[in-house]
Amino acid sequence: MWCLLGNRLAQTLFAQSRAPSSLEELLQRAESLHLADSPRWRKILFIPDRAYASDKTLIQDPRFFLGPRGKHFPATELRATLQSFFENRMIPTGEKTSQSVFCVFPARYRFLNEHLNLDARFPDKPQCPSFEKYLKFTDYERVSVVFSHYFMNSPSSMFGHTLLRMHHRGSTPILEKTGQLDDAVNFSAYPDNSNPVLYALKGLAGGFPGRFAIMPYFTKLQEYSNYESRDLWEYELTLTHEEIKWMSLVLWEQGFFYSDYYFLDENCSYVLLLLLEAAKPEVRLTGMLPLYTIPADTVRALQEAKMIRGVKSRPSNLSRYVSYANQLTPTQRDILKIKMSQPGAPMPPASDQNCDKICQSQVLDAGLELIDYREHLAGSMKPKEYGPLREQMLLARAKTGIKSEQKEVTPLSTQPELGHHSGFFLLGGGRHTEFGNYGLFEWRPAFHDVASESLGYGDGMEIRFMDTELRYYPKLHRAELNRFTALRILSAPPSYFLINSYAWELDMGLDHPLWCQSGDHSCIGLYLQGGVGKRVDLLGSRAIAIAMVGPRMGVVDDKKRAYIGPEMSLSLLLRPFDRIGWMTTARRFALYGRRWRVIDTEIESLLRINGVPQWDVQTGMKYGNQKTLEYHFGLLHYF
Amino acid sequence: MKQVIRVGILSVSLLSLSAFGEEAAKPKYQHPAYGMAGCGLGSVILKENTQGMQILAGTTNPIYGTNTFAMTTGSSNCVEHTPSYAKLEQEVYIGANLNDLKADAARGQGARLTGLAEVFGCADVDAFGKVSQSKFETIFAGTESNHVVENYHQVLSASSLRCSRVVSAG
Repeated sequence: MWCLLGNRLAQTLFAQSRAPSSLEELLQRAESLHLADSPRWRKILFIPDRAYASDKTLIQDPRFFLGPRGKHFPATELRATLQSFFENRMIPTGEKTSQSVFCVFPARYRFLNEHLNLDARFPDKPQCPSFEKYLKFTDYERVSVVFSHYFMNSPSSMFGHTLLRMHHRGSTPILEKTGQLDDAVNFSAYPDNSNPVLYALKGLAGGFPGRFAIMPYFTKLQEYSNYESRDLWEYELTLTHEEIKWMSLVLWEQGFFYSDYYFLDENCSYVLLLLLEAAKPEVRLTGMLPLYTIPADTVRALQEAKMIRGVKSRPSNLSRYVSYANQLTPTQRDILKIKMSQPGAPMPPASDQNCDKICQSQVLDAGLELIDYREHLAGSMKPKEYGPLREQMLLARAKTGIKSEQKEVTPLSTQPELGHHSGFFLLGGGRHTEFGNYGLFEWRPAFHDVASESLGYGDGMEIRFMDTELRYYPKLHRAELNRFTALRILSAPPSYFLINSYAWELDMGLDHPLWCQSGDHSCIGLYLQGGVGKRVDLLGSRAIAIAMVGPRMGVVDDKKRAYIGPEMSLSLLLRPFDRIGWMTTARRFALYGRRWRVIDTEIESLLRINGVPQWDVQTGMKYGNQKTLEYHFGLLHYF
Repeated sequence: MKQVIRVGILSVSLLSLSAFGEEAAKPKYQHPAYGMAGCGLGSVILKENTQGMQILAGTTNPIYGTNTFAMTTGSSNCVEHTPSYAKLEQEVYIGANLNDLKADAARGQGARLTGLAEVFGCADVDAFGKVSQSKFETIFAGTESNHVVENYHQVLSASSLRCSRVVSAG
């Protein structure tokens, strides 16, 4: 081992002491130094660490590869890169434009130069003015990973999103805090059609090109904090100046090309981790993730790699409003209520004893945030409904001459990495009044349901993805799929003063329809259910009730029966302590098929208690389906 | 029937999988193949076509209508801080944050206003906030960002504030 190291060291020294060499000589040296196996080279080529041996890069763009089969063979690509430097090859960078290989691949050049002393071989390499400008501009001091919180009202944002904030050098502390003049690095897909089915298919098959873009951070702040009203959590990374510089070089190279964008694994968060690995090749991030990537998991991966220096929140429009509204007195609330319902009503005169200037400024501060929230106002969009009222309020606010306090707003959300891990499995046993005892195994790759502790997740949000419940009945010698929830979404956000939120749900998958005869386990069918309703907080968020109504439909395999009908439900979620969640739901439905109908009631209850981190105990019961009763106990582990 | 169910499960799963594709569902501005040549504020001023029309890139369409940023040509990406660029940068910054800026100005302070003070080169952020609040009506009289820039320039050069990137109105 030492012998080998000594040998390598000698070779490196030799390489650096010798002057210009021929291509063959450099190729030989690169091979003997095993440069193509170096983590740095692999990360420059965007090859992630996978559970299985693979040299495949994520880059899809053929122009990125200088050699044949470069997508799969980093060594071939290294040889072709060296050769291209010798040829000063021109790389097409646009439809009609091309640039020298030295200007398009500065990260590759720097890496090879460090080991093979290319500078000595290419003293007159071409100048790259636009790259030099870029380098000067991207001389960032620090980098933060930014997590944009769950946004339930858009299916594409439900799992959150991550991007980078690039801190410019030399900001004043106050400017640094605002982030207004920093940059953002974002990786996103560029879909070419909006047909949802094709979109999903293409997304899975990697049909969309994904690209990096650098943009002003304020554009992202406007988009997430205001337009979508999502809290942002910024995780400052421990990257050194040198590592940030490598990142800039790799970003420049990536900027010309597109890579695959898959929904499940190679999504925005995964690719960002790959970029961070390119900045710091010795760190293991992509290798930490399972087959799919959930943005919050990438934050956990960074935390485990000890790459997080600190965390800061950037409250959303809604969080800001709630913070203002919570401080209003009953009198102030009355004034705001009247103002919002009667835009023309004058504000009380400034001398009014009930509400002086300071009092009015507080009302207006809350009112302006409320309008912006209701209008999803961002950038320079024109308000649709409250335009004149907003102008009137702005003017009145300016006329008070009172400077608002710089107060710290507490975000409504909590840090995503504090929550339970995003997948779980459950092992347990139960009893069914007709079929006897059963063994229970449940597995869910993602994500969260309301009975689990809500820390790190949204209040009143539930996303169950591919939730699979298997049972084994020893008495019947039978193993079966009891339930498969392909996707269930429940969004029941809390309401606030003058913000009335509605709840909705969507559920689809496979289940045992109610009328299946006892013992007929093959009776399983597709179902689709939706509903809208209302959440009412009974004791703050310690006790909430959710009422829903909507259609349920489905088709049963063996019986060749399709059905449809209305369903209504009432749920009660009790959370006496943060770690205890008890959800009870009663459903009443009438389902109609050809020449038959079923009207029935079902009651389901689930109690989950969190013991140690990532471990819960769970017990549940279900009554219904021709007056049968079942109950179970289990141990649940989040992974 | 089994086939129907199989296809059904597949489509349901596919539809639900699409939920992972954050960002992808939004209509996006297609970046031209400039690579990373556009950077910082420069990145929002990409040359869009032969007429030199420049628009804000990289953000969702509903927020920034192209009209707001339709400007004449004149600057490239990653440009140095020349006076003409300074004004363009101010216009972009104000246009991209206009609603928030108005709210901050009415309140006399705020994150976007702090950013604007820097874009105008005014070191005294507090005083800048005070001027923005007291001259609110004058500054935000126009609805377009270029009007707001002009108004700011007039107000700031008439004030006692020292702002390095404000051209005195002549």
